[in-house]
Amino acid sequence: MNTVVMVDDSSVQLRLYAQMLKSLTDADGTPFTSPTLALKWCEEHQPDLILVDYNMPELDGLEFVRRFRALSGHTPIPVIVITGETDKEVRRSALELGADDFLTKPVDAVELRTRVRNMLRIREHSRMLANQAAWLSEEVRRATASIVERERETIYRLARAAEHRDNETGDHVIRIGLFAGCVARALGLPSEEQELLRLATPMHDIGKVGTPDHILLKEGPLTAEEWEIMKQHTVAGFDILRDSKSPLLQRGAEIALSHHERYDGKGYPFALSGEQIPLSGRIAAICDVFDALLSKRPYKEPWPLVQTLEYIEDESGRHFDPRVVAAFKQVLPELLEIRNRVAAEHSGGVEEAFYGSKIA
Amino acid sequence: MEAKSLDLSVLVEIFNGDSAGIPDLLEDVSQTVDRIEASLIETCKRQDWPGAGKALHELKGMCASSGCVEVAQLCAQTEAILTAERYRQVPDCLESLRSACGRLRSAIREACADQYQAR
Repeated sequence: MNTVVMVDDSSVQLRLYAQMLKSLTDADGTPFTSPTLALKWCEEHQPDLILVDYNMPELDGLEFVRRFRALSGHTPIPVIVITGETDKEVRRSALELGADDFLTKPVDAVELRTRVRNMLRIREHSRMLANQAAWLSEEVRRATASIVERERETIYRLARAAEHRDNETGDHVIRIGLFAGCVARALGLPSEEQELLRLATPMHDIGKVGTPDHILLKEGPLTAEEWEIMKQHTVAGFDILRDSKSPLLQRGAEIALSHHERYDGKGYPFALSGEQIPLSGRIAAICDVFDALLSKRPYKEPWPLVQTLEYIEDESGRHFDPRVVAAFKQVLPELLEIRNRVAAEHSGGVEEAFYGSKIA
Repeated sequence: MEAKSLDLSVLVEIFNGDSAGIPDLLEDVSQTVDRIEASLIETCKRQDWPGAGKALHELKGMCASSGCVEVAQLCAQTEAILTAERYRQVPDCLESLRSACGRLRSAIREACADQYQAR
């Protein structure tokens, strides 16, 4: 049932309008002799049509329309102004303020019923359009979220493919992504950047797909020649990821290229130092080393935590940016909790939670 | 041709054959006429012409909508006189209007009696 709010200071007029509307089966008149009370009612209810007299002592029809339109969520509700005035200015002002139609007094019953029916039809259509727009918007949001999730999953699986060659589980890429997000937060980076680093850091070693097995999986120390080949994974990773329009891949390229640079300038591939190294690379460096030292590798046993932390402390200002080390120490309990959780829960669920943004 | 005090066909059309509600509405019309007439006399006595104009406008609107043709026409004429600022003619107009209101009240009483009898 559509609610037609009728506003006229004359109770006789209201009764006449109500009577005229009686034969419309889908409209129910709600009368008000006070425009102020009518507006108050409209604040709390959702009418489907307004019929308002122009000439009222308390508040004229134009002011009523202006105030009604100012109420939030009431823009698409049609308003018919009833006036005895033939003055063009009144009609023009009413239209400018948001009136949709006019009826001239004395109101003809057939004309009123026809206009009310037409306006209610318009109201119904605009409601349908609004519902459709909301539905479409929700569908687009869902589709976009799905694409973003697929993009993240693809990137994650790519990162895991590279990692898989020298690390059975692939947990390392999840962990260092989560570590990087925490350290970025401790550094006060914006939440968008924290999220970007969380998702991009797992791509740090993507260039290892091009590193030969006999070098990557070698248990003993590398020769100078092998070491030069090993170092190439940074540039190879950058080459794989560069020139993408995706901010995520752009950040991934930056991290792949710079995560083996050292704060003191003794890293590779370009021996950059200090602030020359992108912050993302400095964050990835500490997260990568921390997790690698605590993990078993073909060439080493896992280090105890105390020894690992001593190493990181010793390398502050040498391998690592002291500011990043401070942030790292600030979130250390969280990093250790992540290490335990990811190791304990190793399953598809953890992975999905990672690229589906469910783990912060 | 003299205008009718009360053209019931207007209300019959609005009530769409269901005339049971007409007497009740006419009682409301009668009370409103009393109220506005009193206000009109008072404003004219004070020579409050804008106030008189508003009262006339309200009476005209209601009467025109409910088939009270004579009063509606006299209201329109008096409104025109006020707009033209021919205030000397107002007392005569007011007298005509009061007489018409009296006739309307009688017509309403009559119509209501008929309606009640018809029930």
